[in-house]
Amino acid sequence: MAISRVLKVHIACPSGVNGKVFEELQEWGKLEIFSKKEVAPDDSGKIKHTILELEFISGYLKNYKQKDSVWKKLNEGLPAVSSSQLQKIKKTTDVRKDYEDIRQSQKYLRLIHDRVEDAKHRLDQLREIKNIKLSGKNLTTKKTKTLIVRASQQAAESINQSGLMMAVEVSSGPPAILAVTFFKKDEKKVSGEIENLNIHIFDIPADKTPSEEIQSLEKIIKSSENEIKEIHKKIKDKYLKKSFDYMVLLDYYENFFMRETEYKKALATRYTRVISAWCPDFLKEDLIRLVDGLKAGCHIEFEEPSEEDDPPVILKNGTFSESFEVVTDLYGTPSYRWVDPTPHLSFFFAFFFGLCLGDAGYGLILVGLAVWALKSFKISASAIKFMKLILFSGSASVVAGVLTGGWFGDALDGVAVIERLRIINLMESPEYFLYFSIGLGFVQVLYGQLISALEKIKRGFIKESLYEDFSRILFVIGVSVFMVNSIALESAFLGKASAYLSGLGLFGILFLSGHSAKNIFLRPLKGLGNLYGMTDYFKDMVSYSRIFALGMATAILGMAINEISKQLPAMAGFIGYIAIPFVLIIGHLVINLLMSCLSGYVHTSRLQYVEFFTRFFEGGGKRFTPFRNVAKRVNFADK
Amino acid sequence: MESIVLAIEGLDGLTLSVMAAAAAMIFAGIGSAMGIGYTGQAASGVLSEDPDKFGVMLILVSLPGTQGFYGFVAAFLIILKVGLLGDVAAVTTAQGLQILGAALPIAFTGLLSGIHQGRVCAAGIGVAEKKPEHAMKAVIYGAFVETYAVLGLVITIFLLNGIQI
Repeated sequence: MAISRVLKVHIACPSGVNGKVFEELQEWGKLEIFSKKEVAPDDSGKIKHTILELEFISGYLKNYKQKDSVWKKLNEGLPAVSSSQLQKIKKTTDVRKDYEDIRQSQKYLRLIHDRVEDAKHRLDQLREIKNIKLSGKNLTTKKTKTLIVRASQQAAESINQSGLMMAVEVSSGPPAILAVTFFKKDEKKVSGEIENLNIHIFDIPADKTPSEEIQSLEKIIKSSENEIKEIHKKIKDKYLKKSFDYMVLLDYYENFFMRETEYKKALATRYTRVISAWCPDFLKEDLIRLVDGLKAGCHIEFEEPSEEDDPPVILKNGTFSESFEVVTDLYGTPSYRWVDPTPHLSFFFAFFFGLCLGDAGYGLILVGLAVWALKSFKISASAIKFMKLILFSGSASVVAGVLTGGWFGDALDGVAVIERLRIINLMESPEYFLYFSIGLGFVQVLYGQLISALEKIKRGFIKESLYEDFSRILFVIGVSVFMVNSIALESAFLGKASAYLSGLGLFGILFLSGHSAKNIFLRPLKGLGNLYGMTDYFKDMVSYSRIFALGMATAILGMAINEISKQLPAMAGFIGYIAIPFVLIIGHLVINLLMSCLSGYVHTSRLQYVEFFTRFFEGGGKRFTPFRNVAKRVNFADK
Repeated sequence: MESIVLAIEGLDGLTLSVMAAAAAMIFAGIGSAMGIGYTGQAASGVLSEDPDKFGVMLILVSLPGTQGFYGFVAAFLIILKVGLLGDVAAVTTAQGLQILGAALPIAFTGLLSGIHQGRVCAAGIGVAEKKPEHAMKAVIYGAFVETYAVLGLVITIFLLNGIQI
């Protein structure tokens, strides 16, 4: 239950079989390949092009496909593909050809679409002058030219006053349609005048009247729209049914691309290629068996990582603790050479979350939802871990709710069994809950310091452990017991014992904890600084009062929802009775449960990161990222 | 000054209690409303570019909403204390002032922490936009600000619990 030991492994293979070995290792998916050789992925290669083409095809076909519902995705998970299916798909699909065809269709569709838009625009204009029975040819004589324009009253007056043109109203407005006639010799001057008047000139074809042009445009639009439908139908019929194949190929080629990139990183001579990787110690024998089984003439060699190496981190925890790896992951990866906080935080996390929610009814709902999701849905490994976290934390909430008598707020108050199981009434004696919360802080903060002390001893830093950690532990215990004894217990023995403990701790902090300073005169000064830092411990314990506040907030909000629903009939009569179930469901499930879960999760995480981790956690590690087939869209079943 | 004292003496305990409940709810509610206003605006900007990020940003948007509920919890405790839902208790002016004082910690910590948590979470929306896998880290920063509203609620609960009516 900790950070797994990792070994360096070097696999030397004859160049000819190396590709096959890489493929097998990728399918096995348990090694992290490393190399001193920096190789950038080949973004201009054939495989990358194929991936881009497949991405284009898949993206384009999404327009034709109905989106799968989240429900369906959860129920069915990723579709399985056998290797024979994959081979068949590879054989029958010409990605390049399909890409070209779809790309051409897309370009052509865009052209037709533009044509239709143009025609519709022209149509809108021509409909304004459909009553004019003249073509463009008829509007020009030997000496004159006539324009059909749309103009305001003011513009029409300006045209007539210009002395160059004559305007006749063809159809009344506003704005009116006018026929503006002028001599061809004045055309330049007229153009200048018209530009200043802000009028629209209609474009009438030379050999057709507006109504004839309207008819031909309508024909164009209709035939274009039919053409668009045809193309869409062709894409749908020909390619939509193959969209699954494209998804399969996309996953296949992405994994292929990854393998190709890793392959280039391997050190190579003329006849040999050496794969260097990190291998979890517990998989050493499996790897030897795998490589031997390939009968490829490979030689395998393991070595311990050196001090200069920075091996990747594999967290290996039991069923309970591994669910809480999401909490650790969120903060960062622990150092390979230090301790995994997950097993240490797992119980605290579940317990604190349970207290923050503090309601057996809500806890049962969470447990039910988690069990249902785990049993019914095909979800990823990380989602399974998260669901288990909800399951365990929900269970803790059930326990907390039973002990505080919280069942959907105060809904079951007065029920004999509930009252018998209740050991604390939050509304009558909230102070005990607060003391308990701060007490939990005391336990977790000291536990964190103890982890640090024991880890140091385990690694041979005995002086550091005794001087830095145990002196702090003694001081915190001594002062805390002294304070509690003075306020509540007033025992002479405890008073004396705690004073000795505090004194011993104080001596350790002041005179020993600064031992790392080379100058001996600086050591007490460093110790003084460390003593000042001890205030953090007591400040951190007070921070655990948030467990109390959140637990109380959930309980009181639940009570308020129940009280509001009780008052509804008095406030709204018959409608009040109808509203009761809605108020109860929305109030308890949508508002209180959701809000309390959010606050509970966020604040419990914060207690781990800020108050607990600071005592012992050392970060800076990097997560183990195995070289494996990534199943994004499909699951290669045989692999 | 004298006129202020006279004005307060003129108020009965129940009126002061109602003012206390209203203050707890109003101030903490304003804090939450403003906080969610900031986060909502920031999130809507991201949504216009990428609507699929709705789920990732939901927690950041809703986080400053908690203060309003803390205010509601405090207000409800006051309502229960003075029996506004059933038999109204006889509350003296001094007790009313005590209740008003007890409501102030959550009223003001709720108001200010709601606004500032909104700003922190709105900045966190940027993290959720660019690196959605790290969005929860921004949520934890937001939780730091809320600590003071939580402490305000703790004190309000204890002050109310200590007032004898």
